[in-house]
Amino acid sequence: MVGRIFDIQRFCTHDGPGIRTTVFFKGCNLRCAWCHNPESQSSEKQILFHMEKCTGCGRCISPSFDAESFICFNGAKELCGKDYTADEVLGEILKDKMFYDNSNGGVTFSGGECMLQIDFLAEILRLCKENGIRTAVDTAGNVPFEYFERILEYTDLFLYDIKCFDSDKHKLYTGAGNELILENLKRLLTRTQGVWIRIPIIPTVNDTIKEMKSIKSFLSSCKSPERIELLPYHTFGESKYATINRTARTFSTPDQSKIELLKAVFDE
Amino acid sequence: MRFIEPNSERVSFLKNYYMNNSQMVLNRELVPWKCHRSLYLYVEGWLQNVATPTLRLRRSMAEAYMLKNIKPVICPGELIVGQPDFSPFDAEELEKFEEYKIIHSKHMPLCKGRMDHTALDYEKLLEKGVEGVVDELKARIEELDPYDGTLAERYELYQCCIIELEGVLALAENYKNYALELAENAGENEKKEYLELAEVLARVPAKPARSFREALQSIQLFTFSLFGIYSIGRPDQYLLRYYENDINTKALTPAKAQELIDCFYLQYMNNMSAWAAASFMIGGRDGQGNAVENRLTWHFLNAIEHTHTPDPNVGLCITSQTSKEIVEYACELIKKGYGQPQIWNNDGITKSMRERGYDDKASNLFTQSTCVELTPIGCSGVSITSPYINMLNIFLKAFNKCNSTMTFDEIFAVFEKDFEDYLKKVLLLENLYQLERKRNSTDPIRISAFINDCLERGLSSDSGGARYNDIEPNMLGMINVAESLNVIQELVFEKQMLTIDELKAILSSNYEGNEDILAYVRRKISHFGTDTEKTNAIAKRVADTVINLLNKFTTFRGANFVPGAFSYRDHEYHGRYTTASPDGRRAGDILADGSSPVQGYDSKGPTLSLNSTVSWQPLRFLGGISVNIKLSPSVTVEQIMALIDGYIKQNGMQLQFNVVDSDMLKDAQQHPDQYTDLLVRIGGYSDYFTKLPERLQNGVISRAQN
Repeated sequence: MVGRIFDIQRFCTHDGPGIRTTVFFKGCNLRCAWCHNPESQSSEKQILFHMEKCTGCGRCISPSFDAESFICFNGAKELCGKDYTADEVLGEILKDKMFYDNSNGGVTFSGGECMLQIDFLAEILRLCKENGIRTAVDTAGNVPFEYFERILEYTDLFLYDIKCFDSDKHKLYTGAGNELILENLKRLLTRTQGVWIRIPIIPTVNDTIKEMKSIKSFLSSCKSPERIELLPYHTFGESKYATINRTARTFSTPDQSKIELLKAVFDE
Repeated sequence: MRFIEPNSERVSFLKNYYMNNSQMVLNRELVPWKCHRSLYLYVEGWLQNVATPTLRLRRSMAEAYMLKNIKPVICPGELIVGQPDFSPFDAEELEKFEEYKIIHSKHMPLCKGRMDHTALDYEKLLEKGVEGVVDELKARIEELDPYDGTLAERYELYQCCIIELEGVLALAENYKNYALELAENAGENEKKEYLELAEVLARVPAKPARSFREALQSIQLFTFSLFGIYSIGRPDQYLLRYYENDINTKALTPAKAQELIDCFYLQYMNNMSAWAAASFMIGGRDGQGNAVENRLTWHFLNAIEHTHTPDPNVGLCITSQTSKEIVEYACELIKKGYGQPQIWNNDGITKSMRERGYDDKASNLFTQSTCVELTPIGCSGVSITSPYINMLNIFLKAFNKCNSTMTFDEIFAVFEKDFEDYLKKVLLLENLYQLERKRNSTDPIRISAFINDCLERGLSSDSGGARYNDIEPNMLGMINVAESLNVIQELVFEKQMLTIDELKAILSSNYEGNEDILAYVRRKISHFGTDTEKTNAIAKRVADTVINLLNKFTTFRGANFVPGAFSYRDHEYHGRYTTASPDGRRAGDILADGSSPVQGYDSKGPTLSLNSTVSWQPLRFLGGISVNIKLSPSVTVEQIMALIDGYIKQNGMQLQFNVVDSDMLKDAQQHPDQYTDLLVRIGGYSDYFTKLPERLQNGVISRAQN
């Protein structure tokens, strides 16, 4: 069994407590308009093309071109997505163990939607626990609840996205309604305390007090999560769209005072 | 508990004053041991003392003459004094100086090899005072049997030390008189300060220190008088009783003590040129192995924040008992971009020193002698960076003898043989240099009175009187060799993209017309620095080779050759003449800066970079390593702490950080005026970024930022 991974980032501080190693799974079943990892969406391996680095040498348009073995000398074309066995991923994670142990950190599985590769995810989570590594799963929750049940035992923390409360709007911006997502969250909270709710703040989409109040009122009908975080939209992902020949949908970045205002809704 | 004091007005004033007036700061080409005035006086003293029975005595007479005549320098507001006089010559002096320079270089016996770079027994200085040591020497002479001619060398040593130490007493007397002179013409407040200063100088370094200020002043004046680079060891240990006594008797407040330490730091800057470092360590353990962490440890860290100067080079020694609070504070300083303190794995080094035969006390009480080269305190005749060896150059010459029929192991064997042959030549030469130092050392001989067991053995440090006499050759480009072998293994043997002969041709063309291959090597090879088993194994094999080969040799005194693998500025200098190498380095390019992966090849983050470094077991390299990690200013204190923790737990050795933004560094290259205070770590030391040559600046910029 292999998992398809498109990146392993080390020394992260934004995906859970302490210092973390974040493993990014390839493939997602949502298409969020603001996605900052557009190369994560397709579950297929893809060639990313960095036009600015291309010298037009022409090696990549020869008939013998083969994406798997081809090497662009200039780094203009790179293959995104690599298949790993669970042991290989574990090996990569263990390299950092000494550095996150004291910080209460660990590994975070993100994506894409890591839960879509549930068999692989369950396996690697189990291996991590066997090796004494704290685990987190970053999910949008748009999967059958059985998937959660399969990994609950091995997962210390869920980073769970709520993008907006209204299902039609959710569908408009992400391609899917949110009934399953919210229901899963409610059920998940009855099973574990280790959940951080994460709300991306996207101007013109969900950056209103009304929206926050709806989410808050939904959450008050659930068992309470460990933490609620607001993640302001940022533009770091925009340049990646060109590499997969797509046009980024751009949003403005919310200012700090707005974030404080929205945060205050949850502190009331 | 955290102990942090505010910065004082005096310290801000002095910093500003020195930045605008100190010759050492303004002219980074100056070096204290080539101070024109001290050289002038030394030669003058040499010419005036012709009728001495030995050259060694003549040299000490010249040294004493210099000390007696060097003009004191006291700047407004100084609490701790003692710095070289860099005032310009008048026309007559200048004319003489031209003549003196010729006499010095052509007619006075000089010896080659590493001078100074040791750590004296400052406890002895503080407890006995210079007069006390002179008394000891006189008593030793008294005891010599006048009928026993074999004691002549002993007599010479003691007599030379006395002559020089009397020079130091005269120097202190001149400083005191100058302070009194300044007091006479000063206003009411300044008068009081100058009189206090004169009182301190009347006491030390002649007599035992009674107060914390006297102790600091004694160290400063004595060290300055040596016009060289000396580590002051572990000041938070031997200064503690003076500090605590003053605090208990209310003669001193923590804030006032901080101000004194800050002034002491600033005076370091006036005494140390660019390209060099004057160092000490704090924390760690005492001679008996007890963990040390006290108020002075905090004060000495705190002073980094107040003074923000390239020197002193402060090392924080981490033990299994070091508190989280003090590491956290050190990391806050690192995050602010001070480039200080360096981090040292105290317990790991102690273990490694024991294995090399140092006794318990010496292996607990070590210090970096300047940048990172380790030496025991108060008993060391260890000769550091002797010599510098450009391993990459040796490797390239060996590689040139290889051909396409050879296996990887055969290539390695050719290198190993050439390296060994090179060592035979260069270590013999080093032993000859050292032999000449024994006969003709130009170091001030009085340091031997503060290095055990010189006086007991009746031999100066250069003559073999010191308890420990290892020689630490320094391996430059060791990492480039490992990376080159790594590239050869992947390109030639695994992927079979090139043959050895093809690769040799590409190197001799300096990658011209083979930019594709160059790009491939730089971008696509799995580099040393990304913590893969294969790359780590090659680096370990190279490091093992260094250790094993050096173990075959002994020094001219029968001691060990113990390697270091760091660079201060030499990766730039030695890069100039080194031809293109398989690691994607073009002819003339800078070498790797010390012990870290090749610049830019640590692209998968600091954790994997550090894992790669520990994989070759750097603790064996007591000659010093410097591991550079560049972090973006957005790094958190928690992250820096995690790096230190993980690195030390895995038997790392030394670690230093540049927390700077590459864009900012590029901007500083364009607008140096706006960045006069910007400090960066180079090899083992810190310097002002805008005062570095461009190639070294680029070396700092090209290290991968995480």
